[in-house]
Amino acid sequence: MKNLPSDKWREWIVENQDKWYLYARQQSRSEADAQDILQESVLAIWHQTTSSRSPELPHTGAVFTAIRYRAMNFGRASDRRQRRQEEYSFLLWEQQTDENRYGADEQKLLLEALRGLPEAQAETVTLKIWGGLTFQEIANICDCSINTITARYRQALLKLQKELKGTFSQ
Amino acid sequence: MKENHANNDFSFRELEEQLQKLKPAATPPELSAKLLQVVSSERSLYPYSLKKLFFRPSFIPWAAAALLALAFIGGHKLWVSSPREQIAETVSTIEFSLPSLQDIKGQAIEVLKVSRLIASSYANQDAAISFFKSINKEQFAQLPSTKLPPTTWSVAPELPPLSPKQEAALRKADLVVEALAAGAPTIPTLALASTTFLPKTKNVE
Repeated sequence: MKNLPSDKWREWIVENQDKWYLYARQQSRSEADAQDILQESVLAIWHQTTSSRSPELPHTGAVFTAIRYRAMNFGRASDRRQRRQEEYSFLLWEQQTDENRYGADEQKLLLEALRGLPEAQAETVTLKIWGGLTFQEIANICDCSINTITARYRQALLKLQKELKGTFSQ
Repeated sequence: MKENHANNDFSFRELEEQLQKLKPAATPPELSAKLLQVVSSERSLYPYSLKKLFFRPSFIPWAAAALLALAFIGGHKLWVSSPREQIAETVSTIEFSLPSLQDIKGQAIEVLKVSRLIASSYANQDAAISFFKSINKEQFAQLPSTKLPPTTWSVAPELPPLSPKQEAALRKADLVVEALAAGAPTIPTLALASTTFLPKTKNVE
């Protein structure tokens, strides 16, 4: 069985790299770590797929899992959380253009609210909203039950809802 | 309570829509280029892989020389120079021990030095490779300089005589055999050492 052509791989990477990068940055303690982790993860998944001569591209969740595993191996320094608290919401997302419904103030409030989420809840929201994964897939990545994941997600949204009360009302 | 729950669900959907409007920051171009390079070039992926290293075109003559020399050693050590009883005794009492790093380094350099001589005696790599593939123990036995007892080789007298160039190269191959007999380094060691110490063979037509 022949390996997948590199064009398909390239399309797959271009399509998904931003969300992988977002997750890698969220899981790592520095920009450089995030880049290394993402590169190693993509390489590992590519190697695994080509070695098994699979005719299908791997699921994007496989890269998220690899990123999580490698981020743990890179070590979580004690200052990571603090650093993340400082940079989290302002660096991980692009500044939105005026084609969005809400303005700069509302966007800032949303980012502030995201910054206030606990780590596990923020991870769940990231994988669900921007990773496009199902709760079951997130549960597999985080190695916990689907009930835990849905509870985390609900708690995160409740917290955001509370923080943003009245901000997005029609 | 029910109404409150319904309101929350509606708000959740609204909130999810707002969140989805946030786009993840774009991957830096240099990182993106590295990721694309991962899947577009196998060679760039595993610069450290011995497997890939071994099959690099520039390394083929050295790889062929090393394999040939190891094949000679196998035949020489196990089936040719030792009586059958001695082989049996040796096999039964054989002890495996790891050579020191210094030993391996010294032997690898020595062997590769000689292998380089062999390959450089040919103007192009293709001719060198075909020659290495064509050598067999019968031809080796025809060399008057060989130190292996001719009676132990299955000499094929119908083989054409070797050309002076082939004979000269085989004499050098004999040196390779001797060097390897002193304690052959492993093929990965040869591969690593060759890329470290040896220049590329020029492909001159």
